[in-house]
Amino acid sequence: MATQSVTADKAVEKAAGYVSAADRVMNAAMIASGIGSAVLGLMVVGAEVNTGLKAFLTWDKGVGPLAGKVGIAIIAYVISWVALHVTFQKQSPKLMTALWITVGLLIVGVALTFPPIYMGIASAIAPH
Amino acid sequence: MHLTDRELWTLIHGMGFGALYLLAFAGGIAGLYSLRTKLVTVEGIADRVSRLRWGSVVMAAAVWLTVIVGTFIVYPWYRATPPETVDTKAQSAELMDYPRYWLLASEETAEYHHFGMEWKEHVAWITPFLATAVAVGVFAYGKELSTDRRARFVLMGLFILSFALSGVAGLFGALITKAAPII
Repeated sequence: MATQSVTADKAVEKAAGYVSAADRVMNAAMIASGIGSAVLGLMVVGAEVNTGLKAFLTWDKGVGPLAGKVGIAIIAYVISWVALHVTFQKQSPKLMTALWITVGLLIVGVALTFPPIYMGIASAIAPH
Repeated sequence: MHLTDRELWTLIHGMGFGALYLLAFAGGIAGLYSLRTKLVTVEGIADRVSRLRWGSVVMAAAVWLTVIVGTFIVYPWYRATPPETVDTKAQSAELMDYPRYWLLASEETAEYHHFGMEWKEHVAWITPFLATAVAVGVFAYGKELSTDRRARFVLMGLFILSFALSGVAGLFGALITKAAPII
């Protein structure tokens, strides 16, 4: 009986748009992973389009521009995670909304790291 | 039998941390899928959640170490520039010490670099972000995972995506290593 009551309470909370403490923590970590991925994709395209940016991203001679691309993506991931974690304690999207935002960002990230796409964009923007 | 330092680090990257993550995925996804009140007792849920917590942290750590070792230790050997005395237009024995240039020296192998390595080196870095989010979710929800179908669905979705992307990276890693090993 007690279990049924708890389950019913949760159903009412979810129907009313209630976002649990665990949902808030998850939403921040999940969207931050999407932001890190999308920033990585943007850095990949940026380095291909702009030689100045490519040189700037070469933080390590051995690794080449990949070091800066992943470095910037990790910085964006960590900063956005902390910022979203704090923000979502006050107001947070629902779990499924956060999931779809994350999926959108991941599509951007995966697409922009796919060679035919990022090289195609680069050759369209900067043919040489 | 002899392993060079480079071969050893390549093994640690791919067959150590990388394989650990890919193999542990099966256990992790089964653990998440079956974590339901109708399938497990109350004591069983506590035990499984504890194991999932440890497992998800180990998997996230493994995938972070895979990409860090791959990028900052192994990758510089792959992309090292040969001295000017080595001809980069033909796949010679001297050029084999420089895998990137060896692949690019023939039209038959150039796509291993242009498509395979160019995608692998970037897309692999998405997996630690996703694996970390899964580990955070397992800790945040804990026993709630057994009653919250949405949370299980979200975590399994991110986990499968992370596995798929690391699978892409692992597949190209194996193909490139076969074509132009780092020795």
